[in-house]
Formats: sequence, C-alpha cells, structure tokens
Amino acid sequence: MTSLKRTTVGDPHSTNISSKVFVRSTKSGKVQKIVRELYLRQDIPCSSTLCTLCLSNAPADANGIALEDLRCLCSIPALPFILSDRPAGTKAFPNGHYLVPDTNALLSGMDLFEQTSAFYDVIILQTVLEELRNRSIPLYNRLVGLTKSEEKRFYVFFNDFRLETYVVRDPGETINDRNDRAVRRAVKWYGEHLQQAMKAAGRTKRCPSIVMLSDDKENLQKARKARIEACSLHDYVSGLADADLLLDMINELREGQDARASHGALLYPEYFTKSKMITGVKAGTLHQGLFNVSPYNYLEGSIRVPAFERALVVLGRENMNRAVQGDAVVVEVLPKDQWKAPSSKIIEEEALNRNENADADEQEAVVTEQEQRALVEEAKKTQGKSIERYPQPTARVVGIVKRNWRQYVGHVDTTSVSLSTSEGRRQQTVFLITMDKRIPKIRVRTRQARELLGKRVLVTIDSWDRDSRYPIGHFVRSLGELETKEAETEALLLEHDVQYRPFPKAVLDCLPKEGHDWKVPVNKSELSWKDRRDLRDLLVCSIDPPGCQDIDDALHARLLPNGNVEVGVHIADVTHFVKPDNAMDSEASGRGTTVYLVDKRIDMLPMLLGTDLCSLKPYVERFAFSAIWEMTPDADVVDVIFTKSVIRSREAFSYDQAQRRIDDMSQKDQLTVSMRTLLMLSKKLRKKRMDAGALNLASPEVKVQIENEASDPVDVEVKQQLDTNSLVEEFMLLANISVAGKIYNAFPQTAMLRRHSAPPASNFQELQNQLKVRRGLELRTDSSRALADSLDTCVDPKEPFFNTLVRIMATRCMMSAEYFCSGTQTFSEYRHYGLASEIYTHFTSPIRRYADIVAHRQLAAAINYEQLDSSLHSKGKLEDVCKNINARHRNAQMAARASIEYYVGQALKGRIVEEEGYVMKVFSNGFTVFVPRFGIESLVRLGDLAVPEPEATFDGENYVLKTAGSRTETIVLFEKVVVKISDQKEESTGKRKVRLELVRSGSSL
Amino acid sequence: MPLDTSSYSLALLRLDGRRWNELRRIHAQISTQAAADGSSYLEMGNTKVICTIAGPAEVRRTGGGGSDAEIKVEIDIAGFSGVERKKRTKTDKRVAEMRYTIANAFSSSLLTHLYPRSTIQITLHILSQDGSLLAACLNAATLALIDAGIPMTDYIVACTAGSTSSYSSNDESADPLLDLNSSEEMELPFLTVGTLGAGEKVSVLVMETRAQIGRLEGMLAVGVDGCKQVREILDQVVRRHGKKLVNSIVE
Amino acid sequence: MAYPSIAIPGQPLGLSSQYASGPGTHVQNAHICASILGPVVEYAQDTKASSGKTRDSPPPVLSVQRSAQLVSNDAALTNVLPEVDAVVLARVTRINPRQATVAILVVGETVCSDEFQGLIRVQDVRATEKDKVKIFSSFRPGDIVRAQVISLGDQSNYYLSTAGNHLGVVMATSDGGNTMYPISWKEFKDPVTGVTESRKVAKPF
Repeated sequence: MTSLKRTTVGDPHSTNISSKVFVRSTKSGKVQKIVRELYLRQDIPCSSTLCTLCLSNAPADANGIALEDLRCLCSIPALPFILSDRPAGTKAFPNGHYLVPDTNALLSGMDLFEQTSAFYDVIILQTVLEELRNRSIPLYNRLVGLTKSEEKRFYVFFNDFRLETYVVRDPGETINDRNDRAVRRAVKWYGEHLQQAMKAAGRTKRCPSIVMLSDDKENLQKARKARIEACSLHDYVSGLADADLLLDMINELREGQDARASHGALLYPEYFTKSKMITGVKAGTLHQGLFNVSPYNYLEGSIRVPAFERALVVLGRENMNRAVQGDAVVVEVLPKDQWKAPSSKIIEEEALNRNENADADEQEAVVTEQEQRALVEEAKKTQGKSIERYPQPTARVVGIVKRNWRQYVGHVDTTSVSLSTSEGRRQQTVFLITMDKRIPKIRVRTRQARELLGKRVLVTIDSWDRDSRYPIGHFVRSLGELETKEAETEALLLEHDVQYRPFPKAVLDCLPKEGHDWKVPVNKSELSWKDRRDLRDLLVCSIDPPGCQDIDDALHARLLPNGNVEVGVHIADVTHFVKPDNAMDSEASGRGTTVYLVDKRIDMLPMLLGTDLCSLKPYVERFAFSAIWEMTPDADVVDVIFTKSVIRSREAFSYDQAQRRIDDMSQKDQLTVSMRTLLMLSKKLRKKRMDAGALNLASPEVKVQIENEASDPVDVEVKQQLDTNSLVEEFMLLANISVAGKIYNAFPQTAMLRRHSAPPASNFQELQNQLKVRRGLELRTDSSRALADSLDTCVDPKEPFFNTLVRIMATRCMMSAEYFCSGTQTFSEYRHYGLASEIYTHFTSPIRRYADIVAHRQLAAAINYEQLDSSLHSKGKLEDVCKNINARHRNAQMAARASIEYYVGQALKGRIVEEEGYVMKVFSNGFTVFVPRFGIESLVRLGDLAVPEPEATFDGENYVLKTAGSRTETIVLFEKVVVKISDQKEESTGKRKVRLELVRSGSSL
Repeated sequence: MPLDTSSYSLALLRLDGRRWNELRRIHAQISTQAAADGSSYLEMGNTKVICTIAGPAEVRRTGGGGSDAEIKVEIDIAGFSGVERKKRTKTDKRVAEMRYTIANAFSSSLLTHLYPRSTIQITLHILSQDGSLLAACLNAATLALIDAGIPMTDYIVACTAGSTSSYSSNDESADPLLDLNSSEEMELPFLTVGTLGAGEKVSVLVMETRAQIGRLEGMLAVGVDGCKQVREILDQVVRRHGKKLVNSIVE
Repeated sequence: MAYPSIAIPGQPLGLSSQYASGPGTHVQNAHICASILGPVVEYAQDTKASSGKTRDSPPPVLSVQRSAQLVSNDAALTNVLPEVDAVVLARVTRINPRQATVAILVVGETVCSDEFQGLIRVQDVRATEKDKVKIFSSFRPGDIVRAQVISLGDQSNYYLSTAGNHLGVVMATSDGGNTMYPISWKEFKDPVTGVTESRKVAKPF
C-alpha cells in the first residue's frame, strides 16, 4: 500500500502557499468552516512613483495591458504608479508621508478621508479593506469609491498576498490582534522597501515616512515599540491646517465610549444576541420588521409583521429601545393587557423637551418628566374608555437587525448651545434637530457650535449606546444659512436622497458629438434610418403643460378610408441616444427619474438630450418610437403596431392653448380637426375605463407661481383640469397598456411592468367608519369598481368639495404602485388596481423616467428592431433596477411635495389670510385642517386655540372634539372651518411652515 | 467574509492571490491503491480526488455488453468534502451529469474495441471540494487509466475557465480566469474544458452558467491553454512513475 | 527513428511506414502511438504470418509492454480470456439433467485471475451416443474438468465441450470425500472404500 503522505520539502511552491481558515455562520444559523488557499507572491507592486523595483512586475490583465497602462488609456494622468513622489507632509513628517490607516481609523474618520484639503497618498491595506467590509458595507463602498478616484491617490495594497507582509495568525491570537500585526508588518515593510528603492535609484532626497493611523492605543504602543511611525487620527488631524473643522468630523464613537465608560448608567435594555433573535423569529416568538415612527407622535412607532394583520405599536422611548426610523428591528409582543389603541394625541419632541442640556448627562433618564406625563395622560384616557376602539397589539424592540442610518439634514438646537464668550472655541456638545421629525435629536460634539447656529447642516449618526438617551453623531458639513433658497433646496435634495450633482464627464462623453446641431440624417441609407418609418408627413402635435421643455410625447389622428381612425402616439426615442450600460445609462439608472421642484428640475438625462435632441419639439425632425392604432369610431382597437419612426411635430400646445383651439369652432384646419377626433376618442376611452372600474382619485395639487428663477414666489393656485389634460392622459394610458402586453408576451420572465395592488380592506376601515358615523355613507371596497361607484355617492349637496375631500382621504388608504419584473410575480398580481387594467407599464416618458427606457429597449427587442441587452435578460438585475427606481420615484414625489410646501410657506410669508378649510383628522389634543385653496394640511393644537389651553373632551367614536373653558368650540370631522393662515418658522425643523389658527368652527359657522 | 470577486479590478489579483492565468498547485500520484487495477490521487488546490479503476472485466449481467468495452463511472462525494455536510442521493442530477460526461469522454479516448463485452469501472472518491471538480475527476481518471494499462489514444486533461464579470454586468474589461476555486465558481460564469492530446482538440466542454457570448472565446482559449499546462504537469507525473517501474525491474 | 525507452499514452513512437503496430500501440495520423504506459519494445515480425507474398522483410513491430508484465510474470497472464478452441480447466459448480455449469480456472497454461462461467450441455459431453448421456453419471459438482471452448456462448457462459478422449474429468472426489483415480473411460474408483463412480473420464497422459 502506497502512502499518500508526502513531504512538502520537495515542493517548490510550499513556501508560497498558505491557507486561510475561518468560521462563519450562515443566515439559517449554521456554522461553516471555510478553508481557502492563499498564493503568496512577490510581484505585488508598492505603487510608489519613487520605486523602480516594482515597475517591472506590474501585473497585466488578459489583454496583455498592464494595469498601469490601462489607467493611461482611460485618459487618467499618465502616472505609472499611484502614490506621488512628493507626498504632502506635516510638521511632524517634513519629508512627506504615505498614510496607512487601520480599520478603526477608517471607521471613525471616513468623512475625513473624503476631504479635499488633506489625506492624499493613502495606502489601504487589504487586511483593512476586508475588515472594513465586515464591519460596514456603506463605508467599504465609500472607500472603494475613493480608491477609484485618481486625484486622491488611494492605493490598495494586497498585503496578505505578498510573501513578505503575510502574517500567520498565532494560536490563541485574536483575529483583531492578528490584523493589527499585519498592518504593522506592512507599514514596516513599506518603510524598508522604499528606503531600498531610493538607494537603488540613487536618489538623495529623503524618503517619505510611512505613517500608520490608528485609534487603538495598544496598537499604537506596539507600533512605537517596533519603531514604526504611528499616531492616532486625532493627533494627526490636530497637526493639519484646518484642524478645527476636521476634528469635528471624527466619529464620536470611540472618544465617547472612553469618556462614558465611567458613567455606567444604562438607560436602555440590552439587545438580544443575534442567535437569540434568529431562533426567536424562527420560532415565531419574536417578529422582524421595519420600524416606522408616526409622523404625529415621535413616541409611537409601528412595525408591520406578517404574523399580525394590524401593525404592532411600539410606545415610548424605552420600548423603542434606540430604534431609529427605517431600521430593521426585532420586536417582542407585549402581554395583551398592555395592548392599546393607537394614540389620538399629537406629541412632538420639540414641544416637550425644549430646554434640555446636551452636556448634562448625569440626570438623564430615558423618559423625561414631561414625556412621562404625556404618556400617563394617554394611558388614562385609553383605560377610561368604555369600549376600546381598536386595541392594537403593542411590542417592544429587543434587537436591531440592520440600521438604516444615513446622513441627516438638520439644524443646531439654539437652546443647547452655550453662548458665553468665555467658552470661546471650546468643544461643546449640542443637539441637532433633524428636518425629519421622526428622527430623534442627535447629540453632536463640536468646536464650531456658534458658527453653525442658524445654518442647515448635514450630520450622521455614529452610535447609540445604552447609556445615552439620544444617538451620538458627528457633523459632516454645512449647507448654508437657514431659509436661503440654496441651502433649503440642497437640504431637501439630500433629505430625499436625490442625486443632484452635475453630470460627470464620462456621462457627457456619451452624448452625440454634434451637440445641439444634431439632426436627423437626410440620407435614408444611414444606419440610424434602418427599420425606421418615415412619418414626417403626419400631422403630429404635442400637448403639455405650459413651458414644458422635455416633450416626451406627441399625437396624431387621421381618418382611414374604411371609416376607422388611425391614432398615433409618438414617444421620444431616448434609447437611440442612451445605449445600454454606458456611463450615461448607469447614471440615468441610478437617478431613476427626473425630480421636479418648484423652481428647479433635477434631470435624469443631460439637458442636451432631455430638452433638445430627444424632446419632440415642434417644426423639427425627431426620432420617435411610435405606437399606431387603428380604431373604430367607438374607440375599439382593431389593430396596433409599434415602430421606430421619424416625425415632425407641427405644433407644441399647452393644455390651455389646445383647449381653446378645439373649442374655437371657426378653426377648421386639419390639425384642429384631428385634435377634435382625438378628444372625441379619448372621452370614449375614458368612459370605457371608468366602466371597467378605474378610480378617479384626487390629490391636492397646487401650483406655485414664480415670476422668474431668482425671485420669491408670487402666488399659489390650484391646478386646473381641462379636457385636453385627460385627452393626453387617455392615450398615454392606452399606449402604456398596449406596450405592457407586447413586452410581456415577448419576455414573460423579464418584462418591466408596473402594478398597483388592491389595498387590504383594513386600510379603509378607519375611513369607512368615519363616513358611516359622520355622514351615514357607505364606502364599499370589495372591488375597484365598487369603490369607484361608492365614492361617487359620497357627496354632500351643500358642500361640493366634500367629495374631493373623501377622494383625497381614500387615495391615502391606497397602496402605492410599483415597478416590478414580470418573472417575480404571478400574473394575477400584475393588476393595476387604480387603472383597472390587467397589465400596465410605463412607456411614455423616457426622458424623465428610467422605467420607460427599459420598456423602450424591451419593446424594440420585441419588434426585432435590435437585440435585447443582456442586462435586461437577467431577472436579478432587473429586480435591482426596479427596487432602485421605486425608491427614487417615491423620493422624487416627496421631494416635490416638500418643495411645494416650502414655497407655499414662502409665498405666504408675512401674509395673513383667512381661508376655508376642512377637518381631516381629530386628535384628543388637536386636529388637522386641509385648506384646498393652498393644498396645505396642517395641525391645529388645542394650545393654539386660546391661552390658557382650553379643556377638551374627545369623543373618539364620533370624531368630535369639544372644548370648554377658555374657548368653546366643537370640532367635527369633515366639517368646514375657517382658519387664519399665517407663516411661522417651525422651531423643530427650522422650516418655514404655514400656521393655522382657528377662526370659526363648523358649529359657529 | 473576505473580499469577493469584485475586488479583482483593484489589483488584478484573485481571491486567493493568483493572477488571471495561473493554475492552482496540482499534485498527483499514481498507483496509490495496490488492490485496484489502476489508481491515482490528484489534488488541484484544495480539490482532492482518489480514482480507482477496475477492469476491464467481464460483463456479469445478462443482456449487456457489445463489441466495445463499456465504461462505467461511479462518483462518491464524501460527506465531509464540502463546506456543509451534505448527503447526496444516488439520483443526484449533478452527479449523474458528471458521471455521464466522464464516461462519454473516455469511451472516445480509450481503445474500447480491444475489450469486447467487458466493462471498465472508474470509481472516483471526492475527498475535498474546492471548485473545478469535474476537471479534477477527469484528470484523476486519466492517470488511473494509464496506471491500469488500458490503451488510449491520448490523455484527456481538463481544467476550468471563467470570467471576472458576471453574466449581466457589461464590464468592458472582463478578464478570463483560469482554474476557478469554489468561491469563484459560486459567483462567476465558468466552463470546464477537456482536451485530448497535445493539440487543441477539445473533447469535453461543459458549461452550466450563463456567460455573454462575447466572452466565451476568451474563456475557451484560456481554458485550452490551461489544459496544456495541466498536461505538462501530468506528463511529468506519468514519466516519473514509468521510470520508477523500469527501475524496479532492473533491480 | 529513435523512440523513448518509456512511452506514455498518446506519445508518437515512429512512422507507420517503418514499423508495424504491435500490442500496446495504435496508429494515428500515420504514426505509431503508444496507448499504454510502459517500455517500448521492438521485434521482428513473425515471418510465418506474412507467408511469402512480399519479398521485402516485413517491418519490425513496435510494441509497448504493460509495465506489470515485467514486474511479475504471473500477473501478466491475468488478462487472458478463453477463446474458441482453447483448452481450459474448469470446476463443476452445479449440474442438472440438461447441462453442467462450470467455473473456468485455467485457460491453456494460464491461470485466470477471475473465474469465467462456462456450460457443458448434455449433447457436448461426448462425441458418440450423445442421446444416452446422463449428466449426473458424467460430472459431479467439485470435479475438475478439462474441456475445450466451442463457442463464446451467450452473455454469461462460455460453451464448453468434453467430446474427445483427452477431455473430461481429470480429478474427482468420491462421496466419502476421497480423491479417486480413473479406472476406465467412464469410471473412477475410491481407493479407500473401493466404490466406483461413473464419470466422463479424460484420458490420462
């Protein structure tokens, strides 16, 4: 029997092979031991331009192009290596230095490394990169981003693959110690290597120092022992020119922990261990979900979990246990006797904890006295009630699965800043109040407290420990003065995660070289004419809002000899210019949608395309993607074809102009006649849709009038609906539905579709009850048809607006529509509830929505115009795209709403108006009023009615709030009230907001 | 979890420190099991395979056998070979596919017509899996068949080739990769290519992942090139073994 | 042409115009290639086989020897298969009125590593008076029989015949368990008990 054992002596590779063994646990809780080979090598370059030794073994890729040459090809500075030969230095390191941060330094100071004033020539070790990745994916992504930017000169050195710097973990050594040792070894090697290289090159200049940055005291000590240059991030930054500014950006985490360790007063219960949470969730004793804070009551959160039909309510700071809006949390349901009705009271953090001292930790309790009082009152009320309204299960947070912390925009709480001059630039702790009311105050240590007062600032949360009532964060940058248009707009965009930076060069490089001079080629044998129909002789026109520059769609109609009508919808052929997977495409995909603010448009595509080359402007030839139907005069579709085409729009109308032209019977030209045909057909289409059960919903839409870009808003008006609006809308819907069917047939697994699921009946429960109690009306929700019909019956002869009000409220009960990839749902789930269509997609606005671009590509492939790009074959890829554009779409809507809100506030600035409004919601200590004239909705608190605050009795079952004492009013749901509107700067968010005061309630009207 | 395959572009280094065109360490031994007619032991990185050959032996069952020898392949994947202990059933489709591929490959390279109505049983024991499993099995079987003295037209040698970008990413600078380990196989498209003889005659080509057609040529070229390297290594192993045999006779 | 001392499969050894392909080689693209691993041997072709038709001396034969043949002579013979007309030694494993089943142990002079199954049908036991043959008076389980392969038979059996004077039972044990000696062409005798048993006896040399 031969032995399989062999000696490693004879193996030439044995010294170069090591293996990495680690243990990991899977999602299902299994523990896996992973063994990986490591091939150690000596040809990993140091990447310093000072070094000539490493030049010869720069690695090559499969095309034989060395990595460094590759960089040259990409029009990046022709540096052979990344690290500069004259690195910047500080007083401590006059010869210049290369920085080698360890993981802790990056974790606490990532914002610093992104600074443009310092932190150049940084060596990122593989060990550090891997550790960072394990600790924080977002930070890892930011770091990888940095290493890709040329000007920062960040170099990733794969020290664990280089023979000389590879470190074997000793038995008994923790992984952290091993990694620290690996970092020190790499730093040492770099130093020696550079010295050698300098000698070899015979250079006289002094060699730059290699400086290790670490926040770990032990690591620093050991480094000094080994005579390695090392200093803490704090010490290093202190030696820089703009130290004050930079010091603020160091993460509070570490410092804070050191300082607080002595306190030991633990305010919050400890989180469960991960395994306990996993087993609990599996066993069904714990529940996992996304944590949502009520916008009306910051002490009330809710979590939707599959096990309960109604959302679980989390009441009070202690139960919320450091969860922040959007975190994925694990909760434990509380015993039934603690179940409560959702709060009917407005609690705002600002109102309660106005005068806290950010520095005073000692007397800190989780729940402040005021909060306690508010909660107790609340509890009394619920228990005193004869019948509990809806006892809702309550829960407490026992662990966080994933934090959803991001950068927040806010402003410094004035009261928390000490202004005494003697303090000077001493570091102090201030509270930062975020614009999003659902986010708690953030405790920030800063030296620039006074400069930051009255500014919009960007902060991040670093940690939230058990011994701190508020999360701890650090300041990132200032956006500018409060209430300046620039700062507020940027704040708004940041807060809604809108990508607003100018398009990078790589994107602009993808534009056609001719720029604005681009024209449809005259010669039809040109490649771009291939498979394109020449529709230039059709009488096409576009109808859009006034001043619209990005014209996505145009229409035509003409009578056919057989008595039918040919109707064409022509959509801008954006995909002719935006080819899949180039820089422009990925930028557009990332942005997802164009964001419309009152005074500004954040484009998804560069201006040149959006407003010129793609835009179906009048009188010029443009490429289009056309859907052409043959319809009977009763608007029944006989046939449809899709084709790429060339059109020439005859006129660009605004809704208003088009309406006037149609109405003016003296106009008898062909264009007007065809528009009348279109209008006639659209009315029939609409009727059909309504018969099928499409909903006619309402949302308060107002328009802010601005004279010009720079000036303040002049007036606010409610948008008007004309027939021509619905003309365009109907044909767009028709096009979208037709395209959806076509691409679904062609790509049943990967079609980009849009769906709107039927809302669960429980969503309407509250509204149904309100209508029944207050008006004796019945709202049926069993189908969209039933809902549409019953909404039509919700009328009040005396109050024409009542129906709209109900529609607005019903809209809020709906689910939101979403994009999805057809393979991820069953066909029955494709339904668009609101439009009562089996299948739907977005096709008609490719200039401003990315989903439409995808649909265009899929349609082009479906009609065999071009090959489908491989990325559109992949379900996973498409799902990612859908996820992103759904989120972007939502954010864009919220940003637009926030922008309108801001401008309405600005328009009302200094004015006091009395206006009619309607009560939309009644709480025990206030109510919300909707003012249709301005499309605003705002809270009126009891405290605002009179001073002292009147006593109130709240009848939750009848939605009536009666006040007595200092002022007697009866507030009834749905009733008309008269309010005085003035503007007010809201302390809690720093926003200028409208403030409503009750003038007369319905009873006294 | 350590870095994934997306870090390749940072320094053109793979997860285990190799360059794109480097094989893992290959170690092979011949005649490891005295009891078998032919046997071999092969390591490609951490993929370890024992192969034994029984036969050519007479066909026992009735109704089978023809004018050529029949090649039967049995694959036994040890429970401890992977990261997770997994019990594989007899009807495992992936194993069946591998068995079929191996049997098919060797029935064309072996001179089976010399052994009518007999079977050649190839038994593969997989001790450890770390990617390129099919390739390792093919290589081990080649060595064991040589040891068994079964005439063949030439060796079949195999290795895997992949691409640094997944199917759906349109990465212009996607590099082909040679000899993938299991973590790379999990993320990237790859194919197994086996060649017969010193030329570029492809006798086995298996791909179970999706790859863009444009990258296929590069992957195949790298794979065939890798096979040449593997062949050289196996060649030396076989020669060393042959010398040892001759020496033992002389003594 | 110089060929290596040890050939590995697939290695070209010489042109097929210069050499003839022997055992362990095959012809590919006009080259003699090795098909197994082992030392290369060259020897002159058997002149008897190629009669007198070609005047030129036939090309020498190249062959690759199975390494194992050199290591041990016994092992070298393991791969022998029974073929038609071969004389084999077999042990009777079971009998029934129509046939005797045997296990072939030796083919010619070679001991098989593996047993092959064979059949002696009742009509193949002897050349004459075939209709009078009774299997149980010709063979008993455990007898060693010398027989000739008459056909490769079906899937599982070689067909053997003992028709011939030199074929038949060569060794037999009595009911009492003693080795018997042949006393006539159809009888064996137990030397201890003196009982005779009938067999198809092979003529002793």
